[in-house]
Amino acid sequence: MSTSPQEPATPGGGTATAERPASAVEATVPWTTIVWDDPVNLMSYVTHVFVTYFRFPRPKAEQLMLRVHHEGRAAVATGTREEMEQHVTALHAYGLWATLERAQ
Amino acid sequence: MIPFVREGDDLVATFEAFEAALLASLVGQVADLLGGSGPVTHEQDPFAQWAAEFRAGVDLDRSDPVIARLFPDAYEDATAAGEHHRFSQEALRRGRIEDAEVVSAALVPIGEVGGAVVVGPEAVEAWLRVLNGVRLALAVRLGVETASDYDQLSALPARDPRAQLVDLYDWLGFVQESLLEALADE
Repeated sequence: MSTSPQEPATPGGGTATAERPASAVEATVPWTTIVWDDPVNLMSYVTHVFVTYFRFPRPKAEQLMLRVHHEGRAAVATGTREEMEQHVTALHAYGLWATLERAQ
Repeated sequence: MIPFVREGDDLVATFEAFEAALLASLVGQVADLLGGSGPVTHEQDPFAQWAAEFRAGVDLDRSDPVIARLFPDAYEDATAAGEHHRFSQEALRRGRIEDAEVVSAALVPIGEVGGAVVVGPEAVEAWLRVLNGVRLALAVRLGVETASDYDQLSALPARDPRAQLVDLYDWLGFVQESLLEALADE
């Protein structure tokens, strides 16, 4: 296998994030990646993972980290089921507690 | 321990001998729990290699809560979660073993006398994942599921056998935070 989920692979150019405007395509790919709060992962580490893996700008990464912390969970990406599985696996490699589900 | 500081591209900390030995031991324990590096296969054909790795996969004991935390369910639905584990677990497991080898290689030489640990850019993510993984494992063993679980553990009297583990858990958090701060100091 050439790619290991351990590598902080950059999400493909086609990956939609939660903030991408809704489109007809997205209506057919209703899956979302959820990150859950846990008492072990450091806030600075969760932010680091969001910046490193998703390439989110730091303010956005911090905002999402705080949403996880305060609300118990946050949707961090939306797209096809395959893309979201890839994200969830990568986040598991970092030790984050992530799941995927159909987008609301 | 002298916390991590940035020196050019590298992040450098100084560990006492017992700290380096202790961390190396914890990292080794988690790697052992994950079945170590397992059988190595070398096939010319990439697909044959993939198939060989798939077959050679180590069965992890998912009834162990540490394994369950390091390899969480991706789906609420048990069948879908099981499928996901079947396809992702072995690569995740190998990744954690490779990370552990990076960290061990840096710690073993200073396990006797202590000294500087130099974490280069290529090793930073492995270090962060390993420190995080060891903290997750320790937290599971301590029964930390919520912030209030941790608060109760922090208040334990020193004579409680768990108090030492709590100190260790705190120290690992300090090491990880120091690495993150040094990394952000550009």
